[in-house]
Parts: sequence; structure tokens; C-alpha cells
Amino acid sequence: MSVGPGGEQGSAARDAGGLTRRAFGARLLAAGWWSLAAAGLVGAWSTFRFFVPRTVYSAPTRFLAGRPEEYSTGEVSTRFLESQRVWLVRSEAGIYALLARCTHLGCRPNWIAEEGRFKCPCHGSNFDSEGKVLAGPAPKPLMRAAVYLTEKGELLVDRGHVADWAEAARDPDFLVQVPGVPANPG
Amino acid sequence: MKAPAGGETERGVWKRIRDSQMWKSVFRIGLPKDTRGRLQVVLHNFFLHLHPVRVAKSGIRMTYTFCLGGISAFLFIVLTVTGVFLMFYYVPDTGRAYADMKDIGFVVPFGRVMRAMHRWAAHLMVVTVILHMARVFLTGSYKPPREFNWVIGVCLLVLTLLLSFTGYLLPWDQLAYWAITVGTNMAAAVPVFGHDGPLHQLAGMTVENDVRFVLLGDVEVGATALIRFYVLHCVGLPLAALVLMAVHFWRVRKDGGISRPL
Repeated sequence: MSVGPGGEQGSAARDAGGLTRRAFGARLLAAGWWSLAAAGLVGAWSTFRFFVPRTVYSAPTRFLAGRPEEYSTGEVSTRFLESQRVWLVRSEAGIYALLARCTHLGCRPNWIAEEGRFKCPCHGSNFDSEGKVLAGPAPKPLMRAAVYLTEKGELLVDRGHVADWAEAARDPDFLVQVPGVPANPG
Repeated sequence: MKAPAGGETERGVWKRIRDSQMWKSVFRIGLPKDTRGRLQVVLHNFFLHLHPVRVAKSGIRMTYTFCLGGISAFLFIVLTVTGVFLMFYYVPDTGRAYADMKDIGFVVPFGRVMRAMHRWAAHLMVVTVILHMARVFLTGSYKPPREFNWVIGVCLLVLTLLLSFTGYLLPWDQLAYWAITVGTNMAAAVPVFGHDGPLHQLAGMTVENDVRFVLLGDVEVGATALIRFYVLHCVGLPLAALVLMAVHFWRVRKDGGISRPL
């Protein structure tokens, strides 16, 4: 073993079972580098975490949409068009929610009540009130959002749970069946 | 003992990487083996070129400079990074600013750490810049050939204070609002150019055209003042400080290196 600087002091320290001055310095330096690396990791992680917000201020993707009685059969309701970009439609079968997003390039079609169809202003796609394509470049029917009936009898729309035509036809989450004749409130 | 690093013993993946064109395109100089090699590394590296390739032994005596200039520059980097982070959540709109500031403190993950770092580093930078100036004065380091660098340093001190002042308004709370009200009222009291100051008749100064009006963009602290102070705080003043710092550091080298005991 080589004799390090520190000379006799060093060997005295070794004899006493301690560290040489140089070995102690090396350990201190290593500890310094490791703590720096640890601090860097913590910093990198917290920086990443900083950019993933806990709270957002856009409209919640799940929202209550009133009672089924508030919608009349055959109506395409634009009540939640501005706030949620969703049409609620009541047909003979029940109530469903259409996403107001053209399946061509994502523009927002308009509901033209007189013609009974949705018309997209961007490239002229037309859809019927069920969302099926009638004309234009749109490749698929309009997407649907899930609708539930809460225990209190209110409609709950979940914009975060969407399905295309085929999926929605199979999945009971995408249609709230309204029993019997529309009841008149009050 | 450990195997010696570098030299003839290296082989395998590490050597393949170091011999690749990609590595060599980034690092022109290999790992240094002697003094000349170490000089070359410093000379050819963008981030290290700020340092002189040789430092006088007396130049590393910490109790002479106390690293005050370096600490100030480091704090500027901390402030830039944390400041940019805060900009991701803060909007300088009178309806949002205060709420955004509160959100950074209570909702954004690690937001309070970022804001606290920004705040403390800002306070600390004012202190270290002033101490740096005191040190330069006490060691006589402002004397020729460094007299112009002293002037640049004074400009940097003013910029530091202005950055501190403009940042003060951004939380948009009562403290911020009244501090800037008082601060800009001082501008209204300057001679000739402030409507409240002596000789303001000379320049025809009124509430609606004096220096305070230009600062606030209005007759009172409001939406215009907030966006003005925000842009100055985040873009204008930091850019000016960056340019002056580049000149400041360059002049340190050109005026004979870091000042040191004779």
C-alpha cells in the first residue's frame, strides 16, 4: 500500500483504525457528488411534476344536463353546445349525446332545424339527427358521448367517454331510454 | 484499487462511442492527458470559454472576491429558469393575476417551491449585487483599466433594482398595488419631467403626459401598468441585463482577468 500525503499523521490515523486525511477527503467529495446527483434527480422530477397541473379550468367533462322531461321528442338541444360542445337529442328510442365535432377535420357543424340535418361550414358535410353522414367528405357518423340517468332522475353526460356509431349501438351507456310517454312536469 | 480510467485500457462500447463520428462532431478534443490538453478543452468549449485557460494562484483566493459577482450571475440563472416556469401558469390580467399567483402557491405541484425560489433569489440577488459593488470599491478594483467595467456594473445594479421593482407588481395584491403606486408617484415628483416635480411647467407636464403616465400607461396603476411591468420584467430588462452581463464578463477578461491581491 502506498503512503499517502499526510505522512506520519496519516499512518498514525491508520494505526488508530481511522481514515487517512486523503481518503476522508475523497469520501467527502464522493458524498458531495452523490448529493448533487440526488438533488438533480429531485429537481428534474419536481420540474416535470410542475408541468402536470392538478387543477384545470375548462368545463368538467362530466356534467348534469337536467331531467329527461326537459327534452321533447325529436328535439336536437343546443343547450350544451357552447359550454360542452355537445348536442343532446331525444328520439323515440331515448336520449343520446352527439359530439359537435365533424368527423372530417374537427370543425363544429350547425344544426339546421328546418332541414333536420347538421351541416358543417368547413367542407359541407351533412349529418342527420342521429349523426349519420348524408353528404360531404366526412368518413364516419358523429361521435357520441355517454349519457346516464342518475338516481335523482337527472341526465349525466360524460364527454370523456366517447364512442363511434358501432360501439354506441352496442353499449347501453350511450342511450338513456325514457320510459313511456313524455311526462309533463308539475 | 480501481482500474485506471482512460488511456490504452479503454475498450468496448465506451470506445466505440468515443470513436464515432457523432461524438467527435460534438467534442473536438479528446479527454485531456496533460496540461496542454486541459487548456484545449477549456478553450474549445462554449460553456467553459468564459473561464480563462490559466488562473493566477492568487486569483482563487476566495476571501478576496467572496464570489459575489459569480453568485449574482448564478442567481440570475436561477431567476431566469424559475421565472420561465412561473410564466407557464401566470397570466398578467387584472382578473387573473392574483388568482394565478395563489394557484401557483396552493394548486400547482411544486409551484410554491418555484415561486419561493424566484422570490428568495430575487431578494438575494439585490443583496449580492450591492455587496459585489462594495467589494469592488473596497479592493479598488474600479481603477484603470477597469473604470468602464465599473460603469457597466452600475448599469447592471440599476437593472437588478428595476427587475426587482417590476416583479413586485406582478402578484397583484395590496402590497404590490400600493408599492407601485408609491414608487411611480416618486417618478411624478422628479424635476421637469414629473407633473408633481419642480419646474414641471417648463416641459408642460400634467398627469396625462408626464414620466409617471408613460411608466403606467395610465393615470393610475391598472391593467396597462400590469402588462407593461410584466413585459419589462420578463423580456425587456432581462435582455438588457443579459447583453450588459456579456460585456461585463468579457471586459473582466480583457481588462486583465479577475481582480486579485497584488
